[in-house]
Amino acid sequence: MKEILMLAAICVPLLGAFLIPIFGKAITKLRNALALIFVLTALLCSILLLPYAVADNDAVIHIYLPLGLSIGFHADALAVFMAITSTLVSSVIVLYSFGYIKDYPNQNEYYLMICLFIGAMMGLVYSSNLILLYMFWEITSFCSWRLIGFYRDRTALIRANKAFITTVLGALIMLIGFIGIYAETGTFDLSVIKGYTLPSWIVAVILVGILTKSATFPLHNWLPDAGVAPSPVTSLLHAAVLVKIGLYAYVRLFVVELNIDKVFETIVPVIAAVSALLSAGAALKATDIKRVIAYSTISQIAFILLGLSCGVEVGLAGGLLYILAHSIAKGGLFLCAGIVEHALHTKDMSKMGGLIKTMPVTAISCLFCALSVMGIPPFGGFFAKFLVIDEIVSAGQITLGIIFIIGAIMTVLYLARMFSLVFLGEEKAKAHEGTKVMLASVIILAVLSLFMGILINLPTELVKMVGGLQ
Amino acid sequence: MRALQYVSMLFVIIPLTALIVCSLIKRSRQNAAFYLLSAFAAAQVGLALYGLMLFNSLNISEYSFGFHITQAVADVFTLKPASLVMLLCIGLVSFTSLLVAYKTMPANKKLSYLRLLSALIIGMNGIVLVNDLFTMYLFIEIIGISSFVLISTTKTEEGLESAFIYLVMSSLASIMLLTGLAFIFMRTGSLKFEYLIAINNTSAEVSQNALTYLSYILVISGLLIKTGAVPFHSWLPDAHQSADTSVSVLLSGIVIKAAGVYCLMRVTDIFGNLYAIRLSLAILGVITIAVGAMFALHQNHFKRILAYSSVSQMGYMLLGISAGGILGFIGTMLHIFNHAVFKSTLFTNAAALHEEVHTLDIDKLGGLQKQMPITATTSLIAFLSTAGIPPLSGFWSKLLIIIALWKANFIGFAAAALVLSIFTAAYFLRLQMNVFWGQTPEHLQSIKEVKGTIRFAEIMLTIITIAVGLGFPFILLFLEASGII
Amino acid sequence: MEVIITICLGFMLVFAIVAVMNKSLLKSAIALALVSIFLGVILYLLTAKWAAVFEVSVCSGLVTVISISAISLTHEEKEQLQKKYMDKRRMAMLPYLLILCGFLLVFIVLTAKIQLPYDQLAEPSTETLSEALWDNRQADVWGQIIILLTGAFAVVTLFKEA
Repeated sequence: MKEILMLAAICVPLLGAFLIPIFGKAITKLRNALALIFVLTALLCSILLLPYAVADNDAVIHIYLPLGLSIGFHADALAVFMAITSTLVSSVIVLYSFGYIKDYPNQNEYYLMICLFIGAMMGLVYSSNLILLYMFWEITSFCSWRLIGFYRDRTALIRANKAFITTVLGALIMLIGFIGIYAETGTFDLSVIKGYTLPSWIVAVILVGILTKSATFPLHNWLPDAGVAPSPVTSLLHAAVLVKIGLYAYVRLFVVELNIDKVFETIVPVIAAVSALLSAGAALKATDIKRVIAYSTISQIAFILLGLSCGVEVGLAGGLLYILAHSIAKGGLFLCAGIVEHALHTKDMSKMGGLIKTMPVTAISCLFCALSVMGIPPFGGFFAKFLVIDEIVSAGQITLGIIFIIGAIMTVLYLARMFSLVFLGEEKAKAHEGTKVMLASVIILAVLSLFMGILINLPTELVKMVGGLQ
Repeated sequence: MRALQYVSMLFVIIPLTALIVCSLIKRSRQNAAFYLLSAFAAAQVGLALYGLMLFNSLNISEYSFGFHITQAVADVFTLKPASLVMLLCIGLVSFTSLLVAYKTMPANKKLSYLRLLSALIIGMNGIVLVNDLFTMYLFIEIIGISSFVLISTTKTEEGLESAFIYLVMSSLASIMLLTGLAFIFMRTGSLKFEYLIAINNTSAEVSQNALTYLSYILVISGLLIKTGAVPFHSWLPDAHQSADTSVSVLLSGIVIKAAGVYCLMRVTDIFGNLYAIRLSLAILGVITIAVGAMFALHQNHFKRILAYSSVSQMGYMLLGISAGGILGFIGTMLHIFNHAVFKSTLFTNAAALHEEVHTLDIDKLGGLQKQMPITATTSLIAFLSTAGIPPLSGFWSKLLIIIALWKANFIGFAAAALVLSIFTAAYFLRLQMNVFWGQTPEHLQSIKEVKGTIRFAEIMLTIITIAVGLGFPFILLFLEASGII
Repeated sequence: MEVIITICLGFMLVFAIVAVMNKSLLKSAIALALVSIFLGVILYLLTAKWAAVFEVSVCSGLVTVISISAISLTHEEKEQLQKKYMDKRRMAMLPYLLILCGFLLVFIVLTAKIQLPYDQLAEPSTETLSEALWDNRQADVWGQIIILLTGAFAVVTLFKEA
């Protein structure tokens, strides 16, 4: 039963994506509903897998293939956590797309790619074979390429190509590491090589792939440029799901399954700290609303990496919690930016102002999400950040803790700047509220940010289980 | 056994019949000849698959046969699983070329095309079936003559010029090959493959001999010219660009592989264990990948980009040959098949573009996804397969080659080959951006999708790419069950 | 005998250069015929009688006849084409230089007594021609027939007017 749930969670969006153009040629409303149904199915199946994972009764599928390959899926606590996080935010984003995309051409391809992307994400978090992981990784790169270039103008295409090349290059370098693992152990199967200690060069090489996917300095350039995509795409890719793939891979490979050298517990936090501070500085200076939020994403991802990599177990829990909080809140921020952009047809913050009068709902949702990202209680972000800082400091890494706090202060600064420039002050352009569907989506996300903070013990229990997987 | 005998004889008889029919048929009946030849090509595909199944069920590794008109004649042809895979590729690519030529060849040239194609198929079938080095050389000559004339069938000035360049390079290759063969014959007294493999060419005294090394270098250089590897690749882009698209399909899809890569594989069977030779092939392989990809980034003509892409992919096959061992062998054969399929798809797309838009200059094209959806989607899938994006078939063959290289201790080469595939992605991204994915300019708004045989060819080849990619676990399990891996 | 073979090789080289670089097509065709005659002599001296016969009859006989008839039949067009494609900036001394190098090579080979493996000549085999061709090398005979057919198609395709 649980195996069927896991298979459904992966295959329904992955294979159902190809049905979407067929329905799209017939009835558009049915196609939209179908897209949402596919994503919700994945969410539902992952939620239903939760009790099994919590009870240590994981769903496992394993088909042996020669040459160390295998078709293997494994629904442990980490996988289910990431799956629920991704599909939760993705379903809201699909709902939002109904309102945002309806006037643009190429909608069939859009919904196909979104469903394919979510299916690939499901495959990635559930897979237990390195080559299968790589396969779904590349499928997400392909989907994000098509989605970033959605508007089909020259700039968008060039930026989409750049994003594709950067992430695929990182993935190829990561594949070198995977083959190195195969050469050492004779298999690609994670369930077989659990607990193996990796040589440092393999870790370094795999790290390159992870850093490109999660847009960490110095391989972060593609992320702010990819703001040419439609807002739901940016929200999906660059807040909620795509950038989390790198972090998931880090936890899966280096924390849960395999052992790495202690030196990386110093190197990776340093890289993450540099990335966090630099991108926070860039966010303070940017004038394009989506660029601010994009740099903020880079910064927050770096913080999550900081928490995951410092070698402290509760830091791990904090990092994972922050993945959840960030996905919800940052997704919400991008969607709000999308509503503003849809209404005003510009992304330049100097042309915006005083929108709280005409777009109150959007403004309040944006405020909620921003407060969560800033880490203000009682929003979810606060608990996650607090866990990480607390554990880092008590583990003795004072410098990292200070950097973290500086970064948190900068986060407050640039998000407050953004909010005041867009919503407060005098009105520069006339605007109207977004459609009901779009508003409903941002309200859902804003409320979820708040509730995550109030009901924080629920995800914390799950996340503590991940620590027990080591 | 009887079935196998008939199947193997058919591989020789069918193209011969085609040649005779095409040479005797009247001009007015040339469409009938077209259908006949297409049926023969499809039959060759089916026979090759059937032959593979027979080999599996009979559990043999090779089968010799001949045409015993007089008694006590030695078996002149040998059928192996590798030959069957090549015969499958030959049949598939010839079928595609016929589908494309049905639309693109001018009517007064169709009969010449059919005759030369039959001769070409005989040449290629012959190469994969013979068991003697000199006979292999002879059939390489057949291929050289037929492809040279096929390139120049549409008598444009640049077509004739590139055909002439090809003829000169081909003659150079033949001279080197023949001289090398002569030296080998001088030393060993026989040119049969089994004899040469059996006399243990890597014994120490043999490998110290300068003449031996010279003969190996000559033979390999001659075959590298035929493959289109760097630095002998200069004929390839011109020949592909100026030939009619159906001929480009043939050239890139099977000629450079049957006459080049496959012969290199047979020849390295004989003396491939010499480390110096394997190292030089590996270095040339990496250089070929890099040079082909770099040049492809700067081209403006659709078919020229595809030609340099072929050069680049030949580098992967050279790496697979240099890796040696069973895994390298299987990786190279699989890459030959995959390359035949996705390169033929891309050239068929070029034919579609040429038919509908009448230009192949990518600066003049743009945004054709809406107008030609099938061409755009098939070219997208072919591009992903070439760049090695899983789960399509191109990724698996590259993975096998990389693993084989790693196991053979060519770790640096494996890493270089992996990283260089980003250039493949780069030039194809540029191609997609300029041709299909973008805003449609005014003068291209009324373009329609191509119909008929070209559309069928595109869809058929894409289905094969996806099927082999998704069905790769089955292929692996089948290979393991046959005891090969 | 080695001397004769080496001198014949030298003459082959000279006439080959003449065949490639001469401005007159007729003289090139005749030079080609002379190349193959010398090659036939060498083959005969190396005890390959049948190969010598085939070489002389096909190359200096058949090919020369066909080339000279083609050259004389296209006299008018040839003149105009030659004016268009004549490479005026060619190095005039190059053919003479190459011929000089050829003579030099012959001289070096003769005087330095480079060990050419003439003493390893095989005994003429006792098979008849038909046995040698059909029994031992049947695949080559098939291949030859196909090449001839292909050549015929090639010529027809290349030179047929639309």
